[in-house]
Amino acid sequence: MREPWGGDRSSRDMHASQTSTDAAVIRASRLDPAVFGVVFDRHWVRIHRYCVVRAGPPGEDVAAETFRVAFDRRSDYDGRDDAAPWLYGIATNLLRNWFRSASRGERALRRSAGHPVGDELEDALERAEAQRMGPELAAVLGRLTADEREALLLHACGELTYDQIARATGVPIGTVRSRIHRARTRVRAHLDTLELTHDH
Amino acid sequence: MTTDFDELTWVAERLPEVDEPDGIATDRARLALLEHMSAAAPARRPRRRLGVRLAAVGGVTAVGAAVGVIAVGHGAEHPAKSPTTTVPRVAIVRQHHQVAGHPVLLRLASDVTKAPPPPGNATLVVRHHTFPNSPSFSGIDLYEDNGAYYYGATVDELRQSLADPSSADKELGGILTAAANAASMTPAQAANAIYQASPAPTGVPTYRTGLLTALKKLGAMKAKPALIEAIRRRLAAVSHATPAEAQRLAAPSQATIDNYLWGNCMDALEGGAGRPDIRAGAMLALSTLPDVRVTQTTFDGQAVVQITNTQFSDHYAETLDLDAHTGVLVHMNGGTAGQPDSVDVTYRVTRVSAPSLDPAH
Repeated sequence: MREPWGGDRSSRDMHASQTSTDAAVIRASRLDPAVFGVVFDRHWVRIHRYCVVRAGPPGEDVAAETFRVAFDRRSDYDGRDDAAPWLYGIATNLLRNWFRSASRGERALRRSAGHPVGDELEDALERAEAQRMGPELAAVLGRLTADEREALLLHACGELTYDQIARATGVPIGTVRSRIHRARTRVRAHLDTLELTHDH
Repeated sequence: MTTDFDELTWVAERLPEVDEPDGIATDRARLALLEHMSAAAPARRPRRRLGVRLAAVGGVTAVGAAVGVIAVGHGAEHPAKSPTTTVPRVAIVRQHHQVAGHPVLLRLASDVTKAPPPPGNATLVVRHHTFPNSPSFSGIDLYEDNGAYYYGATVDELRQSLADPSSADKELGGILTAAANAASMTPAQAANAIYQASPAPTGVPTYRTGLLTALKKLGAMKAKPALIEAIRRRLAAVSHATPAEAQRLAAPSQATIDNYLWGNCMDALEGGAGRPDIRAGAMLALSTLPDVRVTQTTFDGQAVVQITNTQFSDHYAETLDLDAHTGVLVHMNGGTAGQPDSVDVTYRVTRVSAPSLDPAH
């Protein structure tokens, strides 16, 4: 098993024991930037998975960028113990921008987005992501708005609670509930359609 | 009929399978963060953002230090325009591909190299994309022979882009140049050259330079002594290793190499569609890929050489159709066997004079 953070176990453990919550680690990193590496070690695997599920292999770069952006914004961190929702929120914004980065998306994704303009932006977002998800899931995701899709995926893929999704996306928890409710309703409608089709 | 099957479970079960990040991915990200954090170290100086190069990733050095990383180097400096531009690319030492190359591609590449130099100074590519469940769209790419790339959804948009030189993307220039040079190489050499043209190519010497740079940077940011020591040990291991062992330490996996090569060749075949030398170089390189199948067939009534890459997971495959006589890219699609294509793209390629966009003769 690989050693996290350059194998500097003693130093990492020292930080971890002295600063047991993400909030404390992030506070400490304002004085000693290297401490922020603990945040990376704690959350990299989850953020990586979320980004790669949504964007495919290029999501790896987005996941890496998430921690750099987080580092730059660490002075604005809200002080909660768990930084995961904050990181998911950054990753979600970066993914949105990435999908919309038309020319780069074209080369990186290969099989999906083009160079959308204007109203096509939303289409490209759906297209790139839907193709990554496969035809069955794509059929469902294609029925959701971007906000609904992000809330649903943060819940289903990121395994965030409604409260955490609210923190990640910066909207009230009630809005998250309604978005996921609408998403679930549409998924259910799709499943019912499939079942009806099979029945006949 | 209804069920009590939970919708979220249904969605979660259909999400793509994703492996945990391997050591290379983790180390790349960690290095990028390290480099980024170093800019925030005390006593920092004004600087442009540096490109980052990663060289290898291994597990444990010969002297037993558990090292995860490591090398940060000064790449070509360029401004960051999106997340991907600032992330280090996997470093690079080709390990094999000492193969003869597929004969159909070799023959076509040979024929193409005999073509006269193309007129004009740029290649205009009109793409039309179709998708199974989404609206289709078209786009226009302009690849100038000097390596600059412009895009427009319409000709008017393209002209607007051309009027603003700062909108040019020059990232592809290195790949196109490498592919052009590769036209006179052996297939293995061509593959190596085009692979090395990835944004952050490196080999053992560059890897060592990167280690030294990393040491300087980490020292400047007062990084943890154990990390610095680990890098010193890695540097010592590479410095004292046999050439073969040093190459192993710095080398990415063959699958990674093949994947980058495929991507670079696709870029070359599209961006260099109007240039015989670039097409020939890309074909030579593609002929070495073990997961590539080459057939002679037709597309839309046109004789083509079809190149299919099956390296991807989940039975996904990508196919390129090249004109059987000129090697010009005419069609690409990607999809899973037995299902509608995920994407289907047709290309119309012409040579023009930029910036007027007048047809070249």
